[in-house]
Amino acid sequence: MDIIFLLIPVAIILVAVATWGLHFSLKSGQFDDMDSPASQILFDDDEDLIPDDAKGKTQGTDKAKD
Amino acid sequence: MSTECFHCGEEVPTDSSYQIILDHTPQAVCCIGCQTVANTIIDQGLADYYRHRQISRGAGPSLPANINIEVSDSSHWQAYDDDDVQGAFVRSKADSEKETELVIDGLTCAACVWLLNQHVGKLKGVLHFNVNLTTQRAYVHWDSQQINLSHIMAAIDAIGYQPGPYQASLAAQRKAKDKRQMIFRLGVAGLGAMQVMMLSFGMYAGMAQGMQVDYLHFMRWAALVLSTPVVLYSAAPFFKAAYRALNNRHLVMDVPVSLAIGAAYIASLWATVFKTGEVYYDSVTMFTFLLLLGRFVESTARYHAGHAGNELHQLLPPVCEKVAAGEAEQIAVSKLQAGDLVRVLPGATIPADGTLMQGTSSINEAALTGEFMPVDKQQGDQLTAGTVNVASALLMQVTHTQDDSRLQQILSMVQQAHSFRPQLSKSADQVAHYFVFAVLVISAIVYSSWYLLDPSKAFWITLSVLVITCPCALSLAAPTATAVATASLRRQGILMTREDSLEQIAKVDTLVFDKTGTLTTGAMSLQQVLPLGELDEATCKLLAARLEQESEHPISRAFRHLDGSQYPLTDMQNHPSQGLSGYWPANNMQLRLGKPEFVQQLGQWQAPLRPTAEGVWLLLGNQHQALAWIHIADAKRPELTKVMPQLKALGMELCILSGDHPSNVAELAQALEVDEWQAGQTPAQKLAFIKAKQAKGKRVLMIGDGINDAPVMAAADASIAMACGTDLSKASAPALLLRDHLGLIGILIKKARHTRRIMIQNLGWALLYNIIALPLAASGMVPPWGAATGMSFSSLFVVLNATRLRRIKHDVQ
Repeated sequence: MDIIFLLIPVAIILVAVATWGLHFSLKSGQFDDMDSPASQILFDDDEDLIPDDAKGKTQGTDKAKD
Repeated sequence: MSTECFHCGEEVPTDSSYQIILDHTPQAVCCIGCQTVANTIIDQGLADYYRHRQISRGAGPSLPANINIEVSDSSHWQAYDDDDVQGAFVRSKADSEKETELVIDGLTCAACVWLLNQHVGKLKGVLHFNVNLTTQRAYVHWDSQQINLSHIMAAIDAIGYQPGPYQASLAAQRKAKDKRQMIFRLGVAGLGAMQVMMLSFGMYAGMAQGMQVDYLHFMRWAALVLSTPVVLYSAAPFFKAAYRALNNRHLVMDVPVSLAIGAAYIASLWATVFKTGEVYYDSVTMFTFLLLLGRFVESTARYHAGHAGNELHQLLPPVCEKVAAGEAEQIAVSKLQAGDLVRVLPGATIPADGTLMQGTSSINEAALTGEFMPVDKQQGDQLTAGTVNVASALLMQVTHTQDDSRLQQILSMVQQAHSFRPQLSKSADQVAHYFVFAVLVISAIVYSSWYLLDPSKAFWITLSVLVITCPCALSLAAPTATAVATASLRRQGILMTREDSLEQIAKVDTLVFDKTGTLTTGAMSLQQVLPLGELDEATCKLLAARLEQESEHPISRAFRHLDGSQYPLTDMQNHPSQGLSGYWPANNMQLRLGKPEFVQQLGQWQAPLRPTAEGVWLLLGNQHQALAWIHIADAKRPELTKVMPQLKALGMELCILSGDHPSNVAELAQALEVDEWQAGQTPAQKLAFIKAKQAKGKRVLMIGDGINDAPVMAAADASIAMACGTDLSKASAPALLLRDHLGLIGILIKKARHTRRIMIQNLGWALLYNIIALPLAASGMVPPWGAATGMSFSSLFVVLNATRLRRIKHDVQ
C-alpha cells in the first residue's frame, strides 16, 4: 500500500499538467468558436487529396448520400 | 404550391423566373440578389457549400442569407481603404501587413464559415483569414501591397454576407475575457472534483474495511491540495457575488452557496491539519463543479446574442463628403463637426444629424422608425443620422455630431428605461432569502442544544447540518431549468438573452404589438396588377419591373423577383418622389410609372379612378392611355390569422401600438380582432401606454422591431424583437426571434410557463429533501459519505427533471 505515497503525488502532477494544457488551449483561442468546428469535420473538401484510382468508390457513396 | 429559394430558403414568389443551374439541374431562387450570389459561389467551384449546409442545418435554424444587398463591386467599399477610416480598427503589422477584425452579417452555420474561409482565404494577398461563428467575426491578416481591404470586403459581399468594421468596446473585450475565464474555472473545478472524488472513494472504502491512519491522513492532505484551487479560484465568483449582495443588505442564492462551500472547506482544512473530525472535500468540489456547469450552459446560450457590440457604427457610414469653400473632400465621419456642410448622394446614409440646406429628396427612416416608406424632405427640414437618402443628391449642414445625435438620445432612453424598471427579484432568490434565515437559525439551535448535551460533538454536527442542507439542489433548481429551456428554444428559433426573462414571460397576460415589420412583413410586396389598356397583366408587370430596376426606392423591392430584361427600354429616368420614365423602342412607347398626376402629364388622357384598397397604387401609362394600376402594400404576415386566436386561447389580451396612420391600423386591428389599438403613437406615447397598463396590474410583453420601439421594449415586463428588426431593438430585448414567424411567440409563452412549473417542482423537491435530511443531520446520524450522496442524489433529481423541458416540443403551425 505504500505505493500510494508515490502514485497520488504523480496523479496530482498529472492534474497540474492537464490544467496547464487547458490554460494553454484557452489562451490560444481554441475555445473561442464553440459552434462551427463540430460540423466542419463532416465537410468533404478533400476531393483533390483522393488518388484517382480510389475516386470511383467515394463518389459512389457520395451519390448515395445525396 | 410554393417553393423555397435554393440559396436563402425564403419562399419564392410564384411569378418569379429567376433560377440557377447546379449539376445540370435548374433550381429556383427568389431574386436577382440570390441568383448572383449563388452563381458566384458555383463559379468559384465552391458549390459544395450547398451540400455542407445540409449537414450543418441541424445545428440551428438558418437565417435567410442577406439578400437585400445590391451586389456591388469594390468601389462601394473603397472608403475602407482610407487611412483615417482604417485608423479606428486596423492594426499595422510588419511592413505592409495589416490585420483587423470584421463583423460578418448573415453567418448562420458552419457551412457559411467553410464558404468564407475557402472564398476569401484563397485571395492573393490574404495571409490569414479565420471566421468565428460564435462571435460572428472574422480575423483578417493581409498584405496591403497585394490586396486592398476594400477588395476583401467586396469578396465577402459577393457571396452574400455583409462585412463591417469591428471596434471592440471595452465591455465586449471584458466579456470575451470573462468567457475564457469561465471555461478555465469550470475545467479546474472538473479536474479537481474528479480527483477528489476518487480519493474520497478510497477513504470511504478504507473506513469500511479498516485502513492505516497514516494512509488516511495522507489522502486527506492530497484531497486538500486538489480542492484548494477549486475553492479559491473556481468558486471565487460565488464569494464575490455573495459579498456584494451582503454589502447591499440583500440575500441571494450565492450567500448560502458561499456559506456551504466556505464552511465545509474550512472545517475540512481544520480536520486535516489537526487530524480530527470529518472532511467534506468531495461535497465541496462536486458542488462547485455542478453549479459552474449550470451557469456555463446558461451563459453560452446567452452569449450567442451578445455579439451586438457593434450596433451603432454599423448604422453610420465610415466616411462622408464634406464641402468646404466650394470643394468636396472625403473625411472620416468621426471628424465631422457641427456646422460642417456635407453632400449626401442618393443611396448614401446620412452621417450626422443636420438641416437640409439644398435640394429636395426622400429619406428612408426605416432604421429609426421601422416605417419603410420614405419621407419627403424640403429645404430646412431636419435630417437624422443613420437614415438613408433615396432620391437625389442633397447638401446638409451638420447640427449634432455622433455623440449627441438623436440616435444617441434614443440609446440613453433605452438605458434609462432599463434602470427605472422595477427590479423584479428571481423566485429562486426569494426562496434563498427565507432559506438562509432558516438554515442559520436552525444551525444555531442545533449547535446550542448539542453544546449542552455533548460539547465535543457540537461543532461537527452543526457543520454536517450546513453541508447536508447545502443548497445545492435549491440553487440548481432554477438555473438548470432555464438553461435547458433556453437551449431548447434556441433550436426552435428563439434566442433568450437575459436569464430572468423566461420567468417574466411566464407571467405575462398582455401582448403589445408594433405594426409595421411585426404584424406586417415590413417590406413592400406586389399585391396585384389591374390592366386598363391594350397590354395584358404579365407584360405590364414585367415592364414595371424593368422600370423599377433603375430605382433605389423601397418600392422597387417589390419587383425584385421579376426579370424584366426581355423588354429593352432606353432613356430611363428617375424622377424623385414622382416616378420613373423610359422609352420602349419596339412599340414606340413612352412609358411612365408612378404617381397618377405624373404619369398623366405624358398624354392628355383621363385618369382612371383609383381603387380603394389600402396601400400604394402606382399607375403605368404611355402617351395614349393608362395601362395598368399596380397595387403595392405591406402585406400582413400570412400566419397571423392562425396565430392570433392561439395567443388569445393562452389568455392574452392583444393590443396594437403603431406610429402609422389610424386608417391603416384600424383595418388590421379589426381583421385580427385585437382588444385594443392605438395609432399615430410616438415612442413617448407608447411608453405611457405601457406604463398605464402596468399600473393596472397587467404584465406586458412587447413585440417590436424598430429603434423607436427600443425604449418601449425596455420598459415592458418582457419583450421580443423580430429577426428582421434593427440591431438596437434586438439589443434591448431579452428574447429574439431568429425566424420571422409569429407562431414562435406562442411557443415561447408555453415554454416559459412550462419552465416555471418545472422550476417550482424543483424548488419543492429541494425543500422536501432538506426537511427530511435536516432532522437526521441535526441528530448526528449522517456520516460525511451520507452527506455527499444525499447532495449528489438530490442534485441529480433536479437536473433530470429539468431535462424534461427538452423533450416536449411545441410545433409552429
